[in-house]
Amino acid sequence: MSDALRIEGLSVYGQGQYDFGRQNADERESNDPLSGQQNTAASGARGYEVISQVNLSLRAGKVLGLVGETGCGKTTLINSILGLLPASLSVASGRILIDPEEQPVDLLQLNNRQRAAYLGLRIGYVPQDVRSGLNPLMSARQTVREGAKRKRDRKHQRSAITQRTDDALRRAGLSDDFLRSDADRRPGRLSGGQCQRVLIAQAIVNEPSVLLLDEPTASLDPTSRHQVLETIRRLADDGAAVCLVTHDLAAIASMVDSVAVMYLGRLVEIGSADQVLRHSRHPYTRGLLGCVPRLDEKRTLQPINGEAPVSGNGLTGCRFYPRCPLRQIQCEVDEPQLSKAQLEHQVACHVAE
Amino acid sequence: MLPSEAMDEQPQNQSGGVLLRASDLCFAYSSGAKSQSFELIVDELQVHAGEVLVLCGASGSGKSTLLSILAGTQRPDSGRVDLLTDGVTRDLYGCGRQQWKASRHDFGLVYQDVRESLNDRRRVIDSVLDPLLVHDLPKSNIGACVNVWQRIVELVRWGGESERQKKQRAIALDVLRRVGLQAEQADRFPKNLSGGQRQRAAIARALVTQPRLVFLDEPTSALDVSVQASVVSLLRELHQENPVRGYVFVTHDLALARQLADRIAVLDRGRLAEIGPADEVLRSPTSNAGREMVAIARRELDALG
Amino acid sequence: MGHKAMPTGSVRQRCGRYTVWALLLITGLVVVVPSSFTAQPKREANSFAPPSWYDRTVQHECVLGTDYLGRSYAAVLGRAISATTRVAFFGTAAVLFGVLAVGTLQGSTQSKLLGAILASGNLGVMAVPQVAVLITIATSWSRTSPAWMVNTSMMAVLVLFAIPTGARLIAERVRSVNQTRFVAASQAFGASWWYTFRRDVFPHLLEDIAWIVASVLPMFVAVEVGLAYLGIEYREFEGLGRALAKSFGSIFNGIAQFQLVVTIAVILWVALIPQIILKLLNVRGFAEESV
Ligand code: SF4
Repeated sequence: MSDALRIEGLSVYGQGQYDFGRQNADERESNDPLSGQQNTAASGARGYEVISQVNLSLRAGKVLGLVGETGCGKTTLINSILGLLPASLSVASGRILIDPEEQPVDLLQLNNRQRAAYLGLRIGYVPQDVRSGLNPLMSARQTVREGAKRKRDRKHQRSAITQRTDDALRRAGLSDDFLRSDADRRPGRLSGGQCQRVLIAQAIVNEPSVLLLDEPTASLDPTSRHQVLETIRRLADDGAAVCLVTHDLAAIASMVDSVAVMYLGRLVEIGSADQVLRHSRHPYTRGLLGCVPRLDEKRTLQPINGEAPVSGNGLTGCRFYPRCPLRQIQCEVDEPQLSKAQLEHQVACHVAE
Repeated sequence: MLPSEAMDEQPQNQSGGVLLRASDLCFAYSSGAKSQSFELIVDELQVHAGEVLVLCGASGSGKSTLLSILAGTQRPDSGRVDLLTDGVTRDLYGCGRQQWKASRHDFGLVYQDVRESLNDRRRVIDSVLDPLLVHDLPKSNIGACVNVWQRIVELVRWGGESERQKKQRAIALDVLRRVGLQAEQADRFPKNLSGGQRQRAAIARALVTQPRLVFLDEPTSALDVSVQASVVSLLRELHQENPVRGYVFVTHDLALARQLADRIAVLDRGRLAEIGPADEVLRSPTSNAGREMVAIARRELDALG
Repeated sequence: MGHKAMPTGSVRQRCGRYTVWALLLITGLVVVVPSSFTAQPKREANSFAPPSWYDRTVQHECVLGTDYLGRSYAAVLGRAISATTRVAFFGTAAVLFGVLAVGTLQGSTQSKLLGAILASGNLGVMAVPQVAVLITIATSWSRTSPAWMVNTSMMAVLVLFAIPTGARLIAERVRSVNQTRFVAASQAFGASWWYTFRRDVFPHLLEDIAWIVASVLPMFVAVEVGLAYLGIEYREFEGLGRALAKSFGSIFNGIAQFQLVVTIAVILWVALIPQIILKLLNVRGFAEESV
């Protein structure tokens, strides 16, 4: 399968203070030097680091799960692909190539207008917050229609747009029943699962080759979560390259092809779902897996020590060092790089190699 | 309900007598549209001392509404919720406002949304102190009139703390320390704490009056898995420390329920689909809703090995 | 409470708090001092002298010259400031009280009737009936009626018409804060309505209150000045408006022109006191950090 999107050596730095307003409030940590907490967001010569040297590729027809906790930079990664970085963040280096095999275009080199030719058409995006992601004054059908109108083409007349709108809603897993009765309702009268599907329909209405989903299941209960994930899986099987950003390992485990784990702006482990989830090698991934409650035994959960700092600034060597149960002296000074332990299974850890 | 009837229930479970009993609850809710109206009907539900009862269900099944009704903060259309403490039965919705208020220190509530579960304009310690101030705890052994005098003194005193305030502050700090927050963090504003720390503070506020019942409405659903794990571990420790306190926990995550629950109640569209010991419900669910939830949870977790 | 002044991170807040007190003190002095320290300027019987630098009562030149009655203009201005700010402060306090009461009531009950009244009171066209009522009141009092009654009646009208705008703001804020989880939590542990309001809701209203004060106080000053200038005034009430009107009266006199400029500057200062305080404190940050 071919790569649909490739990220090469992407680093994102922030200037001055972290722009907390645009980020999840949980990422907000103290910047008050008097409060005693590590003031990690201080700006250095290049600002503070948000994402460092990330290499990733999205394959057509595959689902990549990008796993990480609040503040690890996963949303920033998505935003840099979309060119939606807040003013305080800027890309320091790297390339984001769309269609890397045939006619590679570096999204980072485009201006806003040129990028608009890709967003919504070649790249579909489902934002994080279901409720605020939908305009409360537009019905489900209108919302998707707006997306469909983006594709300007003589052929795409009114009826064609209507056709594509309904088609997208159907592909997003909404029933014919819904199309008949509920599609003209506003989001306030739809359930969370339905809202999520409308968002997905809006993202896929122009049949993008890349689909980015930011925490698509965060606010859903297991049943609708399962259904939404199945829908996403089906979209991938139809040929889209899907990137699923989430903090919930358990939810996505059964439907992803490969998993990338991020910690403090770095990729720490990447590999196939089986390799990362069943035979994980990095201590952080194992820690995360230990935190997932299981159904069978009433096993005590194994929380990871401490809490993740706001950013990795001030740390040299392995970013996970302060919390790592396996740490060695070497880890504090020497930063581990992603290395191929097995085919396609890369781990950034000195001990796990 | 007679106290003697309450005693009859006791032998059935090892952990303790009935603490809270809801009977014939009915609550109808609608928000304009017909399709959104729903009805919660629960014939009988008991919370025993020392147990963790988990209310499980899809969104819209009424689990949070049931929790607020049980916790005495949402008046049902009909039915009663009795709190049985020290041989006294008190109908939460039948007694007067004064009685209701007096019973509040037996209830601790923790809500879901971490961002607004604490007042962002006040220090964490002040939020945690609130229940103590409202209920005037710890109960002083001085008479009421002296108390009034004391209050006047406290009002007039500018700055410095009275003995009583010091005592209350010490209690609050103690509870905060118990949930893993240091004095230095207690004096911060909520925005300067991480999500997990804020939720710990919310738990501390619920526990500061030493309630007999603690209600938790999806307290970890907005947290990361690793933070959720540490909060859940904390809850388990707290449960072991005080074996007579009852917990009611709302979640849609069965695996999480498994970690904490003694009994699981599955709700389905406003009805109690099934209720029973956690092991039984998970091993052989009898209701459709229960079966579906267990199946999905199994499928997801199997992939993790 | 004592522990609020903990050493951690409170240096800035303490500075903020002291600045507030200092400014309030200064403002208070502006109101109180002129009336207690400057004696009622003696009015020479029947002398209707043009403004001059030389004050005949004290037998030497004075700073701002004398006014059309031969009084020291500095003293006249001092009394005028005092009179106007007192009216403005009382009025603002009344508006604030009304706004909080009505706004909180509306925010907690969401009553449709009250909402409709507030909404209609909020329309821009209400300015016309407001002026009409004011003029009617000012002209219908007899010349012998006591000053305070005239002033109170006019203030009551101003207050009534100023309430809806602020009340809507407060109502909206109260409604949104009432929906938060921490309010639910404090109600759940049995806190009374008043306790919840004081501890949880009120801190969130501070910015709105600051905004209301900053916009209502200038309004009172402006209305007082404007009405007096238009000749709708009560003779015994020597506020800034009267001072302005009188110095306009003899506009071709050089000294009067100077006095006019000083008066306008003073009026602007009085009207903008709250704005200046807000700017100095950067109130948004202040409310978030130290309240
Ligand atoms: S490199 Fe060292 S500190 Fe980092 S994860 Fe591996 S063992 Fe732990």
